[in-house]
Formats: sequence, C-alpha cells, structure tokens
Amino acid sequence: MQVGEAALEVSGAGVTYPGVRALQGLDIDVRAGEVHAVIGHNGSGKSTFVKLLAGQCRPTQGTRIRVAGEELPPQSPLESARLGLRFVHQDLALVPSQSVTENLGLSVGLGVRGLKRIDWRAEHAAARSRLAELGYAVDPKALVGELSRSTRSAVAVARALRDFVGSPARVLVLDEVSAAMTAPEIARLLEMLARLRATGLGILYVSHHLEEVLQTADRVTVLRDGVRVTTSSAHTLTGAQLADLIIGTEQAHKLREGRAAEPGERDLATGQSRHTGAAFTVTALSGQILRDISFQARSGQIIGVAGIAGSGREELAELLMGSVPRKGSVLIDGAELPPSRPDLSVRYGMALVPADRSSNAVIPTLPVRDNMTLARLSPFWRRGWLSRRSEAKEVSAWIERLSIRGATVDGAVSTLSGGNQQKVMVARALRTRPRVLILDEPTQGIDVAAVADIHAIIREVAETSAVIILSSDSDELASLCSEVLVLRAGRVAAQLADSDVMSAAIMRLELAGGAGSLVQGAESEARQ
Amino acid sequence: MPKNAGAIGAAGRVLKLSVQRFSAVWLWALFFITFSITNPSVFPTVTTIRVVLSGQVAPGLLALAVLIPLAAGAFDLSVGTMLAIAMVTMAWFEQSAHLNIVLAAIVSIIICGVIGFINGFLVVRIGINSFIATLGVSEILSAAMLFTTQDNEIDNAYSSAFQQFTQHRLLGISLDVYYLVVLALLLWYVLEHTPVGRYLYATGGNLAGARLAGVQVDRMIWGSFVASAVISGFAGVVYASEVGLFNPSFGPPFLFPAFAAVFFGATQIKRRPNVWGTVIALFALAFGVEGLQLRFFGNNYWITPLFNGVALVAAVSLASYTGATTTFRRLRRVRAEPAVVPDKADDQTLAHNG
Repeated sequence: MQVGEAALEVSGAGVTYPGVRALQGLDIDVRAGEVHAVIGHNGSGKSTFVKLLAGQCRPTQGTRIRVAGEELPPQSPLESARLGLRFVHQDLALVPSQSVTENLGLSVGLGVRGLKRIDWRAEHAAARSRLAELGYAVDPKALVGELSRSTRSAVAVARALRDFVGSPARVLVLDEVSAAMTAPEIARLLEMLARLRATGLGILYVSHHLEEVLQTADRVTVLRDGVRVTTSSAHTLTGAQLADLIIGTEQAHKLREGRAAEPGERDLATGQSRHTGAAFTVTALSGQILRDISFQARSGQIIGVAGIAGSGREELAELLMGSVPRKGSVLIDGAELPPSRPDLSVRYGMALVPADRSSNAVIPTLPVRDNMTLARLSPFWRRGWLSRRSEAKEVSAWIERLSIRGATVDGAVSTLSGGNQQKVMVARALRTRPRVLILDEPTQGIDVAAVADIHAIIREVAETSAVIILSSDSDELASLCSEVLVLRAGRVAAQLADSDVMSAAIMRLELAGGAGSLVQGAESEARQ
Repeated sequence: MPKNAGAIGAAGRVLKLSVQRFSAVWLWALFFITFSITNPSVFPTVTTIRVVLSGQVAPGLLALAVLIPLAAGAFDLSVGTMLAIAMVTMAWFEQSAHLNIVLAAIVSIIICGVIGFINGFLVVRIGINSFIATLGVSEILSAAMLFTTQDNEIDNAYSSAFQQFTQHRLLGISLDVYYLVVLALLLWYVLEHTPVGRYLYATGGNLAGARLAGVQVDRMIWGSFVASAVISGFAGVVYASEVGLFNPSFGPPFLFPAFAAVFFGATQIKRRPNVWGTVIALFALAFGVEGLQLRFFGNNYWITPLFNGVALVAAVSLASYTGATTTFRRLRRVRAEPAVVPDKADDQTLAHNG
C-alpha cells in the first residue's frame, strides 16, 4: 500500500444505544503512513467508534466502513481483523505470567501444526526481531508481568500487527493506551509510533491527552457528544484551541466571560489561607501516581476532586482511607490518622463510599441489614447481645429516609438496582456520623432519579461534615462543590473556588492549562 | 432472607422454601422413616441413636472448627492433623512427662492454638493462600506425628478414668454429646449475635469491602485460625477419651467429613456456612450412613464416603440450581488486591449517557 492512500474510510457512521445516540454521522479517514488522532472528553463517542471498527457494536443505517477499499460488514470482528484493522486497548490484554514469545503467539498461535513440538528457538528469535522492529530490545523469554509498561505496550502492538490468516495489518487503532503511563513512557510510545508510521501503516490514535496528540498526530479529529466537531491538521492547532474544541465554543466563551484566563494559579497561591478551623487536613500525600497532594476541608464544605483516567484520582480515596501504603499525613480535627489502618480511619471519623461497589463495598452474601450496619454496630450491642429489633428499626428508618426502593431489612442486597445498592452504601457511611465523608464516583452507573437523591443527601450531610467528592463527571462536581481540585499527572494542577467552579473550567484544566503552560508542560515532561 | 411466614397466601412458597432451606431435615426424616421400616428391630433403637450421636461428636467439633475460618473466607485444611497432634501430645505429656491428664489436655490444646497462630501468620502476614498454607502446615504436622509415634499405635495411651470425661451419662446421653451442643450454642451466639460474627461473615463476603468499612479483616482471619485450631485440639482431647488409644491413621480422614458437613450445611437455613445448618447436615448424613450400614452388615466400609460424597454433591447442586450460588462462588474466590481500572469510567458513561 502506498503512503498517502486511504487505508480506512468511514462515512455516515452512527451507533445508538437504548435511548442515546452515542455516535452520529461520523466521517473520518486514515491514510497509510499517517497518525490520525481522535480526541474528546468522557462520553464524546470515541470508545464507541473504536468498538464500531472492531465489529463489537451495531451501526445505524447508512454507516459505511471501507478498509483499503474493501467494505467492512457490520458486527464482524473476524472480518475487521482480516481486512487489516488491529486494536490495542488500554489494558493491553496480555498474560503477565507468560513470556513475551508466548504472548505474541496468543492470537495467531505458535508455529506448529498437529502434535509437533514448538520450535522455541525459532519462536524466540521471531519474537525478538518483531520487537526490534518497534525499537525495543527485549528478552523474548522474559515474563510480560516483569516488563515496564511501555515495553508491555510494545508487546501488545507487536502482537496486534502480526498477520491474521495471511492478511497484513493496515490500520493500528490505539485506544487510550497511554492513560496510565508516565511521561518518559509516553515519549517511548510516541517514538514507536513514528517508526510504524514510516512503514506505511495507518494509525488511529484515541486519547484525551492534548500534549501527545499535538506531538504525534498529523491530523486531529475532535468528537463531542457523539458528533465530529472538526478534523484539522495537528500542526496548525494550539493546545488552547484544541481544548476549546473539546469543551465546545459556547462553554469556552462562558468560561472566558466568567473569569480571567488563569483561575487556577491564583487560587493555588492563596488557597491555604482561605480556610480557618479545618476539620480535615491533608499534607504532602503521595501514592503510586499522586505526588505531594495537600488540601484542607472544614465541615459545611463540599470539596471536589477532578482528573482524567491516569491522573491519580482513582487512587486518592484508598490513600486517604489508609488501605494502601501512603506517604504524607492525613489529619482529622488535628489528630493524625495512622497509615495502613482503615479501621482507625473510620474510628477517627472518616467514612468512604467506594467507587467500585461490587468489589470494594457491597457484601453480596449478607442482607441489607448487615450491609448497612457493618461499620457501626455499637448502638445495638446491649448486654452481650446484638439487638436485632432495634437494628431493624434503624435500618428501616434509613431505607425510608434515603428512599431505597425495593429494599427490605432482611432482603438480599445483591438484587437491588445499582442506585439503590449505592444508597445502602451511603447509609453505611452516614451511620458512622463521619466528620469527613469521602465519596468516590458517587453516581457512576446509576439511574437519574437515584443521582438526584444522592446529590440531595450529599448536600444535607455537608451541613455538618466535610465532604470530599472524587468524580470523573465534571457537571456533578460543578453542581455540588464549592471548591474543586483538578489533578493532572499525579499533581494538583489547579484549584477552583466559588464562581470559578464550572464544568467547562474543570474539563479544560483536566486536559491542560492555557496554551503557554501547555507547551511548557510538554517540554518539562519530555525532559524528564 | 425475607420472612415469608407472615405473608398472605404464600403457603406454597413457604413449603418450597423450607424444602430448599431445610432439605437436610427432610432428608433426616426420610432416612429415619425408611430405615425404621426396613430394619425395625435394630434401627429405631436407643442404642443406634446413642451410637450415632457419640460417633459424630469428634467430626462435629471439627466441622464447627472449619466453619469459623470459612465464614471469614479462608480454608483451614489442618484441622484433621491438628486433632491427631492433640492426641499425640496428650499421650506424650501423660506418659513421658508424667503430667496430670487434665494438664496434659490443656497443654495440648494450647499447642494447637499456637499452630493456629502460625497458620494465621502465614495467611495474613506472609500472604499465602489459606488453602496452600494450611495444607503445608498439615503435612508438617503429619510428619511430627509420625516421627514421635514411629508409626506405631499407642495403646492404653490415656488413663482409664479419663474415659469418664466423655462416656459418663447424664440424662441417658453421654457427656461428649453435650460438649458438641455447648460448642454449637457458643458458636451460634458468636456468629449470629455479636459484632465479631458480623465482621467474620463480612470479611468472608467481601474482603476489600469489609476492610474499607472499617473491619479489621486481618485480625478476623488470624483469629479464626486460632479458634479453629483450639477447637480441633479440643476435638482431639474428646476423641482420645472416646477411643482410649492413638493410631497414626487418625487425623486426615476426618477432614473431608468436616468440610462436607459445613458445605452441605451452607445450603441450609441461611445460604452461607452456619452453625445449625452444619449440625443438621452432620446428623442427617450420619443417620443415613448408620441405616445403610445396618442394612449391609459385613463389608460396609465403603458406605460412609460414598454416602457423604453423593449427599454433598446433590445438596450443593440443588442449592446452586436454585440460585444460592454466591456463597460457593465466594468460597472459591482467591484473595486478590483491588485493581485500579481507570478506563471503566469512560466506558460506563458511554454506555449509559452516550
């Protein structure tokens, strides 16, 4: 295939989920030897687009997808691979306990037929040269789990690029592969992409990191609410323009009128002195991704924490709770919480509603009653006996107060809807009468009515406690919080307060600062 | 569990539920009636009942022992050898160290407690899967037992007065049965009516969830191993008094019946490992076995394992089929660190909000 020829042509592409148009009338093409970036915020439709290409969701009428001139039939993952579309997703889908060679053989098999033994020497040599082509010198016998993230992504790419039943790869789709990577790892990844581009491969690069996109891509397509906003040459765009395109001009205007251009920095400077009588003080908190996070909250305040995937937002809740190792200090009313003791964090007045309900919160084997009262049983402990009657009374009062639909005191918790399970978890946290309530993605994946209920509860609780909300939903933060910390690459990139707390501002800051700071940021990351 | 008994017009549901939740009781009744008809002269007698009750005390104590770590989501496979170790150490302390039999029993139980502490240490601190850790410890205990006994039976290991500890009759029933009943009551109280019981079940149901809710999950798991070991040691003391000798084949064969009773019992009443379910299951199986053994007099050693195996598979199949699978899925679950999946947010918002 000649460089510059269309490797992938998509026209009129649409996908509808029940009640939602996830993607509408998308026209986009990728040429051989080109990196075409697709960028957009959460819910913009970029993941749906990737699924559409992979044959994993049903297109609407009028959708046409051609790969190297050949029509791709709908919902056909095998055809998609045969025509030359190859995918690497964020989780990479590698087996950590197997060697590089074994992982490379996972999709197409190792070179044997029947009962012949595997020629390991030849397989290892082939694996080594495949990775060398990508610019990586890797021991093919090394276990994938022991490799760095960037090397693992190279293994995933090498596997994706292998011939599928004799057909070569034509377009490589990278879906948020860099999300959990550090700056030097991203630099390595981009280097690899440059090599691949030179071989005439078409690359579709899906991301929400502005810096990378501007550094790597030839063209950029911006999606918003399932619609293409624009496609333009990456060389003529600045970071600020791109950020505006992602957020939307209307929102961006509102942002400019509302405030001077750099709201974050001013607040960072004066933020410390604004609070008096803080109930909750976090100083120089660090974890796997997060570095030196400091903030304060007093009762009556709702503080939001924003950040895109990989910004470190996901680990903050467990760091505060002390269930994962941390550096730095966390104080409630001046008393320091001992690390690695979530039980003591609860006793000192902290309560958490975790993000991943099914793995970190709900106890599916126990009824609503036990789930709700688990964190504080003392009121029912009388004369050496748990009083089931007074417990039932309190549980049913909570069911009524939070209008937990479908719940009975001794009914199963696992049959409740997501929103109602979440309310049980909120009740569990509130029953401890927390001084500091932390809610991690409090309304993710739950229905609209339950969202409104939970927001109302949060506002009520905030009258007497300090509330910290960690959320990927900037609208949620904007509507609830008086102050929002925006995390980027493990640090507090900005702190918005009062009238500055706007959805658009949060999104903008999650992506990057103004144009100037964007370039500086990219340079300093490249130097690292 | 919803309290269906009070619901109007739900008589059918109540019946269905009680068949599901109390299948072992029905089974027990079925065995009793069947064997009373087929063997009217030997089965429905006081002797048979006494034999079955006393015969199930040691296995029953071990079943209650494994129930505790199992409630917390951990396996203790060392209970069988723990029983043997208690018997051996007791014999040694009495015969070689000339200790009073009561002191010897107490010391043996304490030794078992220490071994349980080591089990807990391996699982909680070192982070070994409980299945593997206790399997390893069990083998080491076997070695210790074989080393001290040189694979010989110890006859007249315990003073004959010690037999009265279990064989003295009170109201027509021997004392060992009372020990089982008292322990079952105690465990039922702890598991169902104290915060510790809640914490244990919560730990077993969702380790990460319980931990973030403020439960000291490490202490729960560790403590459950110590409790299980102490009960196993006590079971050894009781068994020593019942049989009066020690044979190196004692120990590991007790493991399967104990787990069978707990798993079968977990399909009863509460749909999770629980005390009364375990006790009911234990005796339903024991009466079934006894009835069959009386029927096939002579070569009948194969009956017990066959019967236990079939009953266990049947009961758990029934429970899984009727939807009570979570307990068993949870039991299979290996302890895992919570993983951070950053991309989930994007996908979920997409699917729900476009």
